[in-house]
Amino acid sequence: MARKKRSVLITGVSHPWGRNLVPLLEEDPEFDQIIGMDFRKPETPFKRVEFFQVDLHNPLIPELLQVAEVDTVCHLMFLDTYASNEEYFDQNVMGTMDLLAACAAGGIERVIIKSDTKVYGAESLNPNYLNEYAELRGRHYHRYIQDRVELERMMDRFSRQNVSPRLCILRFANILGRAIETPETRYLDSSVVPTVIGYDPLMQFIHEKDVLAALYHTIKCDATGVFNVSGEGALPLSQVLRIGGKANLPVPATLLKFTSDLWRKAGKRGVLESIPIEAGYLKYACLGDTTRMKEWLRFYPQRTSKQAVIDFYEHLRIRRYMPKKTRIRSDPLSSEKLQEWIRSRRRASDYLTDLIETFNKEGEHDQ
Amino acid sequence: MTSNGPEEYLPESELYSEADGSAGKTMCQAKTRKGEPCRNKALAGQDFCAMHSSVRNGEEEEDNIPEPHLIENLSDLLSMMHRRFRGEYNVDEHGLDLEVTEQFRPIARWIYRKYWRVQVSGIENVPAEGRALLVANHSGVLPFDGAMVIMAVQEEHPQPRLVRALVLSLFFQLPFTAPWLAKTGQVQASPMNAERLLKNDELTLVFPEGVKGIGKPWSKRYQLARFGRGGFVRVAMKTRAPIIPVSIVGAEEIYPHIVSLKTLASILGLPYFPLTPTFPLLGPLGTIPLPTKWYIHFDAPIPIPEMEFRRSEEPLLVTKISNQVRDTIQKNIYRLLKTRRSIFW
Repeated sequence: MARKKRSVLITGVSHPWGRNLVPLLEEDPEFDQIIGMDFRKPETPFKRVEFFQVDLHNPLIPELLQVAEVDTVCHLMFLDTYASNEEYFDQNVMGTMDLLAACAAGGIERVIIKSDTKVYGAESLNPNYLNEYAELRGRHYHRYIQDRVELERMMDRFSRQNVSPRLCILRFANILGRAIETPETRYLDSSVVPTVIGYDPLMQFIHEKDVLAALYHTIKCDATGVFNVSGEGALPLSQVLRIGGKANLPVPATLLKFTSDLWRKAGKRGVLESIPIEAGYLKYACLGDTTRMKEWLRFYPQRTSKQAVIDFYEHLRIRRYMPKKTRIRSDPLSSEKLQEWIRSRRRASDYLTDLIETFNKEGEHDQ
Repeated sequence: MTSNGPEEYLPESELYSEADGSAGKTMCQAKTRKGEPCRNKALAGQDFCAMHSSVRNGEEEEDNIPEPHLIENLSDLLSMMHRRFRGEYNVDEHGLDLEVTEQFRPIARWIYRKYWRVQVSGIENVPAEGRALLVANHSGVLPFDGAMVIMAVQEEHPQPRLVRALVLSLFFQLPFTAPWLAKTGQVQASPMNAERLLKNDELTLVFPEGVKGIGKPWSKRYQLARFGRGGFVRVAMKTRAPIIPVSIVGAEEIYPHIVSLKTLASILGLPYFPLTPTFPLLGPLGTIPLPTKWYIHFDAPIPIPEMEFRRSEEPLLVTKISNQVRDTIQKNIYRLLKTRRSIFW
C-alpha cells in the first residue's frame, strides 16, 4: 500500500525553532512537500523546503494552502519580547488569528501551535499539577505571558466556532537547551540569580531536543487537543541553582517586582529584565500534569527535568572553552550542490566529446 | 555531516551524562517490627529507607565505642552537605525531600514521646501498603495534630510509612513555611492534589474541617465543625481509596483559645487571631503549647473500593459517607474522653 504523501506548512522557519525542526522533516520521506514561511530570510539555505518570505497577514496564504494541498500547519512563529511592542503583538496574536482564518478558508485538517505552561499562571491556590482544563490565570504584567494567554483565549474561541481545522496546542514547560535562548535560559544563566525570599517553587523543565521531538511526533501522529509537555519530575528552584553552582540573591517579592518594572521601563536588558517569570513564578509552582501527554499524545520525553537542567549547565560550563562562531564557513548543503553541478557538467561535456568523436569517425568513413 | 553552524551539537556521547545519580530503585534492607522485610524503597546511596536508616544508626551506636562513630557521623554529615551543595539529591513530584525530613525526626520524636506522650490505638487499621485516606478532626490553633499523626504512623506502625498531610493553602502562602512544608512531605490541600497522591498509592491525611476546626474557640472543643463540602469523599470514591477515620484527643487543649480578635485577624489577613491566657500576653513565650496528654485512635477503614454505585447516586452517597466518617470520629472522641481523668496525664 502506498503511503499517503503529506504536505506541511511550517511558519517561523528562519527563527530557531523552525530552523531546527525543518531538518527532521526534510530527512523524512513521508513529507512530500514542506513549505516554509517567515518574514525574515533564513541564515542558511534549506535542502527541500520551499521558502516564502511573507508575513502571517499575507492575503495569498489561503490560496497557497489550497494549491499546495497542505494537510497540517505547524505554527512556530512567536516573538518573545519584554517591552510592550505593538509590532510583536501584531505578529504573535493578530498574525496567528489571520493564519487560523486562512487555514479555515484553505480547508486545513490540523494546526499545531507551540505554547507555554506559564499561561496557567503561578497562583497560590492552584493545585500542584494543573491539567489542560485548568483556567488560564497567567498574569498580565509580562508581555510574553500576556501575548500567550491572549492567544490561547482567542484560539479557544476559534475552536468553539470552527469545526475545521482542529487545533493541537502543545504547552511546553520551561525549555532549556544549548542552541536556543528562552526567558528561562536567560534567567538561569545570569551571574547572580534573583530569587524571592522565603520561597522555593517547584519547576518543570524540558530539553530543547525533546521539544523538537515532541513537535515532530505531533506532526506525524494525528493528535488534536491541548497537551502539557514536560520532562518527568519537578525540582525546586534552589536545587536547580545548586546544580548550576549559581549564587542566588534573595529579594522580597515586592521589591523584585518594583525593580524589574523600573528596569523594563528604562529599556534595559539585564538580569532583572530577563526574569521570565514575574515574582509570582518565583514564589509558587506552575506545573503541568503530563498524564494526557503520555496517554493520548503517546509522547515520552527522553530526558527528565533534572537531566535537562544538568545538561543545560554542563553546556554553559564548556561553552566558554569552545571556539567562537566564525563568519567564514561553508555550507554543507552547497558543497553537495557543487558536486552535483560538477558531475552534470562533466557528463554533458563527455557526451559532447563522444558526439564529436562519432561525427569525426563518420566523416572519415565518407572520405 | 559535520559543520560548524550555529545550531550544531557536539557528538552526543561526549556531552550527555546519562547517569542521574538517582538510585531509589533498591529496596530497604531492614526488617520491620513484625520480622518481615521492609517494603519501602531505600534512600539514594544507602541500604535502608528513611524510616529505618536512623533506627539502624541508633542500634549500632549502642554496640560500638562512641568516639570513632562520632567522627564517622561527622564525615557522613559533611559528605551529605557537600553532595547537597552540588544539588545531588532527589525530591518527589510534590517536593518531598527525605533527607531534609530526616533532620526533623529527632525533634518530632521528642515532642511525640516526651512532651505530649501520644498514646496510639488501632494502628493495625492503617494498611502497610497501597492507598488510603486518613480523615481526622482538626484542632489546636496551629496544626500540630497533623505532625503527630505522621509521627504515630512512623513510630508505631510495623511498616513505617510517611503520611502525606494535606495542609491549608494559607500555610503555603507564608514565606519560609511554604518550602519547608513541601520538603517535609506536606501537600497543599486541594482535591486534585489529594487525587494525585492517592493515585500514587500514598497514605494521605486530610482534615475536612479545615480552618473551621483549627480556629475553634475553647467553648466548642471536641465538637466537630462542618466537614467541608464532602470533597474528601468524592476523591476517595474516584480513586477507590478506603477512608480511615482518625480521632485525636488532647490537641484541643494545647492553646486555650478563649477569644478570637476578628478585626485584627482581618487586618493581618489571617483567618483567626487567637487570644489565649498566655498569648499575646507573654509574647513569643505564649506560643509554647501546653504539655497535654494526647490520644490518637485509628478506626477500621470504610471500604470504598467494593462500593457499587450509579452516577446519579453519587451526591447522596457522598453525604452519607461524610456523615458516617464524622459520626465515627465524634464517637471515638467521646469514648476516649470518657476514660480521660485529666488533660495532662
